[in-house]
Amino acid sequence: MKNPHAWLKKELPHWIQDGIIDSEQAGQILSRYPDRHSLSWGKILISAFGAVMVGLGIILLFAYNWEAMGRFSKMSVILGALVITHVFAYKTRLKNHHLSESLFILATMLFGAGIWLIAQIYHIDEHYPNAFLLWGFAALMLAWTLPSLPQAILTVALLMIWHFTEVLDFDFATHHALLLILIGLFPLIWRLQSPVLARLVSAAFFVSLGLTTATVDEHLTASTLLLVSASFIFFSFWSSSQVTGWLSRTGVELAKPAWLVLLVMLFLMSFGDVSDDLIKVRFREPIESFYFYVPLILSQLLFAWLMLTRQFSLITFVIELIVLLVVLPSVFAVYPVQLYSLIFNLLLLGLSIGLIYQGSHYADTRKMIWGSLIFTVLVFARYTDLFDSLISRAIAFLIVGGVLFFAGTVLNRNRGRNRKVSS
Amino acid sequence: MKKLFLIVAIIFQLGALLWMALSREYVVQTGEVVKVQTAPIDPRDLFRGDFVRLDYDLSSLPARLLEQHLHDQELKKGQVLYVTLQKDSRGLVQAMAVSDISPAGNELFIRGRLLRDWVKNKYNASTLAIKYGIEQYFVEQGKGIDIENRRGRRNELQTPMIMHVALSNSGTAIIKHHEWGDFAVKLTVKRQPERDAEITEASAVLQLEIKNVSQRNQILPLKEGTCSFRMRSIKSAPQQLVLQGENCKQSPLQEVAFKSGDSRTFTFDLNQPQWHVLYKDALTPMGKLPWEYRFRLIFDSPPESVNGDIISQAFHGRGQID
Repeated sequence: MKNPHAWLKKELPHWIQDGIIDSEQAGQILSRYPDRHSLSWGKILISAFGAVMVGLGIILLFAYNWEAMGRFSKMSVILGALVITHVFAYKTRLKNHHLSESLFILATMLFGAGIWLIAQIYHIDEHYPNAFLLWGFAALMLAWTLPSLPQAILTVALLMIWHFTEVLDFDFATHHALLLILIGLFPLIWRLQSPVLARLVSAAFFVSLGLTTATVDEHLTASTLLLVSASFIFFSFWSSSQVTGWLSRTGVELAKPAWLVLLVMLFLMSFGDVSDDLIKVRFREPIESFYFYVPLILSQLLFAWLMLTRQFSLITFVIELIVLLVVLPSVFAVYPVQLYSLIFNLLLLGLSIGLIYQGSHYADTRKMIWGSLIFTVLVFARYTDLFDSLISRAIAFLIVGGVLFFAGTVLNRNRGRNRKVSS
Repeated sequence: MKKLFLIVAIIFQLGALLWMALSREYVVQTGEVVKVQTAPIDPRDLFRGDFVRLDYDLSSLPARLLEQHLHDQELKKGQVLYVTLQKDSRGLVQAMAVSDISPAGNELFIRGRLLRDWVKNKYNASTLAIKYGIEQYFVEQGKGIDIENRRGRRNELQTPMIMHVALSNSGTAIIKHHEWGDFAVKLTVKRQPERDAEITEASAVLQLEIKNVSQRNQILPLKEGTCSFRMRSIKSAPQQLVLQGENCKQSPLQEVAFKSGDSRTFTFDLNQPQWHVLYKDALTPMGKLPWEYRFRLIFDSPPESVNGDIISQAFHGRGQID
């Protein structure tokens, strides 16, 4: 159901008419389920995007750097524009939410323009990622105080640019980027109660974690990402079974990027030579132990909690198996490459078949697509490794095609059956 | 309370911009102004339009300028360093010492950050790459190319830029504006040594053309031949040079007028003993020195009426010009 509020609003008069509830109760029910669609996030985001574009235009306009315009004139223009935009945004915040939101975004963009303009006026050539950090921090403050989803999205984008430039241009690990996401952005998901932001911040956290660990030691990245993604997934299992409402949904949203990371890492590990290089953490510096053991302990505490609360499921044990497979070579320095490669391949194969089965059996198109995608990618990846002759390659493709064709037929049949039942 | 936090967030934006601008404006208004001579190239910045990238002699300093207590230390990329400067009568500065501690008293210094790790006896240990935050000069769009054209390219007459830089008490440097050097220079190789040349023919013969590119007539006190020039070592090259033989000491000074647009060419045969360098306790032709040993030819004691140094591009004794 795309808009349950609209459906409820349409149904309630019938319920009153049939004497199931009275009009006061109807009002109480309606107020219990606020109409999130009336907030028109789409409209707000489009307006915010427009404001971002206007802001970028202003930045580039000043980038022209007219010689005829003195530095005090330039600064007066940008500071004046910033003050006026903030005043209008502040004044309209109660009367016209959309307009105010867009004006605040424009103000944040003007603030960014101001940073670059002052850098241009005074020929500042310092550590330029700091400009993105300052800009992102200003957006974060507004995201918290308004509160505002577009400002939050802008914050994520700016902090990501900051972290990328720190790592790629200066080779700085920038551990505080992770701290900033943990302290500044994760609690903001709770404040804004936005699934979009949950997914975005989770993805940003994984990207930042990957960048930071790769700068510390590239051998650390795969293990850390796998352990953290396992923790996120365990958390989502716990939240979806133990709590209801928003926290439960957030756990699932946070885990979506974690699933993607887990799949990508598993896929990489399915190549023997790649995993041999990726999986062995060397623990030369205390920071390497930190990035390995903290997520390990976290994942194991969450797993223990799932076991204590009797939440047994096959997928929980599979993920725990992956965690153990990641931990063993690093801690005990034992790594049978061929065996590991075989296990990771079998895990991916099992996962894809499980998803295809569930997708086709329960008419879940998304699971079906994911299962088919993983299965196909896996077969293509093993295409050159395992199949020497044209005949065996042909057989492999026939089997893949056959499996997908069969699963698609079952999916269509079950969807048709479901439609009949619901009608 | 929510209102208060929102106002704080708004004031943060305004305050941050004002602080950025005013702290720099204060240096521009009150800082001591020095001149730094440079050579630009032209890229473009995504957010700030055209700019000229500036490279100074100060940007790569010989490690021997490091203070004694730093010689055995490992200096990390990003380390803050203070470079003590000496200003000549024209306001042009030269590096005298490098320290990790801010110089006390009335000493003139500039604050910079190390661009790459420095470890004694490791690769590139002879040079300190330092950034001062004055390496970009923003100009109106399209003007970057104009500046590059005026500056000249490899194997062309090149006019140096002289940057006027304001220095704060803490060593922060802000570019105020620039002027063009009065003299353009062009360094070319007249004869490159053969690969397996004898030691007496191991160095190149160079030609240096100097041209008055200012609008004013200039007068230079010239000695005979190449006696008006000395060799300045850059980066790691040895300092102990045999400069200007006895004949140069006797050479009389003659005032030569350079009208606007006038030029003169000087030929330097680096095989001549006066250009040999004391290297590993032996006088060595410049063509036999290690690859990283680079030099510049500099006009000795230019008059105060000339606004900058008359200095060539860096080169190796075998004739490789940077």
